[in-house]
Amino acid sequence: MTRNVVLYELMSLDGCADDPGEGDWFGDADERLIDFLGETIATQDAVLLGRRTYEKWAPHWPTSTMQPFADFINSTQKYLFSATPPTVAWANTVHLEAAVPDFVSDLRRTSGGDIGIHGSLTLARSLLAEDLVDELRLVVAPNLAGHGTRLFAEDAALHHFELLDAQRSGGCLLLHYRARS
Amino acid sequence: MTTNKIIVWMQSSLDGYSSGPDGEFDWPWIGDDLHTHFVTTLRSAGLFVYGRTVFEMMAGFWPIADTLPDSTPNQSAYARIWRPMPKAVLSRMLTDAEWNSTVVADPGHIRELAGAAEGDTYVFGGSRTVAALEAAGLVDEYQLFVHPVLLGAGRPFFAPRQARAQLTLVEARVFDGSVVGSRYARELVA
Repeated sequence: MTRNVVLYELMSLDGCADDPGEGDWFGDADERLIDFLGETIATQDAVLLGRRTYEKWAPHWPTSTMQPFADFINSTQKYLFSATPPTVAWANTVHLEAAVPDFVSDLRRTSGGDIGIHGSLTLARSLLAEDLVDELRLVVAPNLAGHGTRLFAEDAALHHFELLDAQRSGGCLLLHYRARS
Repeated sequence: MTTNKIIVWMQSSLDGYSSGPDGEFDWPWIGDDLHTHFVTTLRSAGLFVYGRTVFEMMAGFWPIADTLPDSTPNQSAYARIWRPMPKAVLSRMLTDAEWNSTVVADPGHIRELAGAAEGDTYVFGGSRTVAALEAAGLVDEYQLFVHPVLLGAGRPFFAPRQARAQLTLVEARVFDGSVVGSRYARELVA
C-alpha cells in the first residue's frame, strides 16, 4: 500500500495556475473553500515544494495567521526540490537535488500519511508525467486569466481520472479526482 | 430588442482542450444524464452555430442517428431536434450547407441570425469558431462539460488572450457521476 500523492492547485477556468490568491481571483468563495483545503491537508504529513514556491512561501508563512494552512505548512515535513540551495531557511525542510521521480517513488513506499504538492507547478507537471499523482484537488476560479502558466503541460500523455466529488463555493468549483491506473 | 442569448456549449477535457490535436473527439463520454440534458435544453433552442469541421461531423451522423440499430431514445430524440433546427455554419470555404443551414463568412451575420431566431443560439465549436465569436463580443454564456481526462494535447477551448475576464458561475452540476457541467455568464450578475 503506497502513500497517496495529492496535488492541490488553484486555477482559472482557462487553466492558469500561477500567482493565484492575489486580487479578486476567488471573490465570493465561502467557507466551503476553507473546508476543502482543510480536508486536503488533514491527511497530509509531507509536502513537496519546487524552488519558486518555496522562495515565495518561506518568508511569508512563518508569520502568517491564515489558518488552517499556516500551522500546517509551517509544521509539516517539507521536501524542497531545487538545483540550488534555498536562500531562506524554513523549519522542517529537507533540501534535495535528487532526481524527483525516483525520490517520490521511494517516498510513496514509506509509511506515513498523504504527500501533498502545493503550488510548485513545474514539480507538479513532472510528477503527473511520471504517473506519480494519485489525486487532484482543484479549485477553479470563475475567470479567464488569458495568459500565464498553465497547470497541465502541453505535449503530455493521456491520463484518465475518476471524479470523486464536485462542489461549488461562491463562483469557484471545488473538484476532487482520483487517477485511474 | 432581442432577449435571445448566444451560448457556447462544449465538451472539454480537464486540461482545457475541446478536441485532440487532430480534431479527435473520441474521448467525451456522453452518459444518460448528459444526453437527457442535451435533449431537454436544446429542444427549445432557436439556432445552432458550427464551424465547418464540426458541422461536417454532425451532418455525417445526426441525420441518420435514429435509424441506426443501436440508437438510444436520447439519440433518436436529438436527431429529431437536430434535423430541422436552423443552423449557421461559419466558413469562408463553403458556399452552402444542408440541413436548414445558412453559411456565413462573418460573425456579425450570426448576431442577426441569433436575434431573429425563435430561441437561444448554441455554438458547438470548433475552437476557432468560438474564438471568432468571442472576438466579435457575441458570447453571452458558456456551458462547459468537463470530462475526467487529461488529453495532454489538443485544441484549447479558451484561446489565449491578453485581458483577464471575470465570469459569473450561474450553476454547476455533475452528470453521470463523472462530467462536471458548469454554466458561466459573461456579464457579471449581481
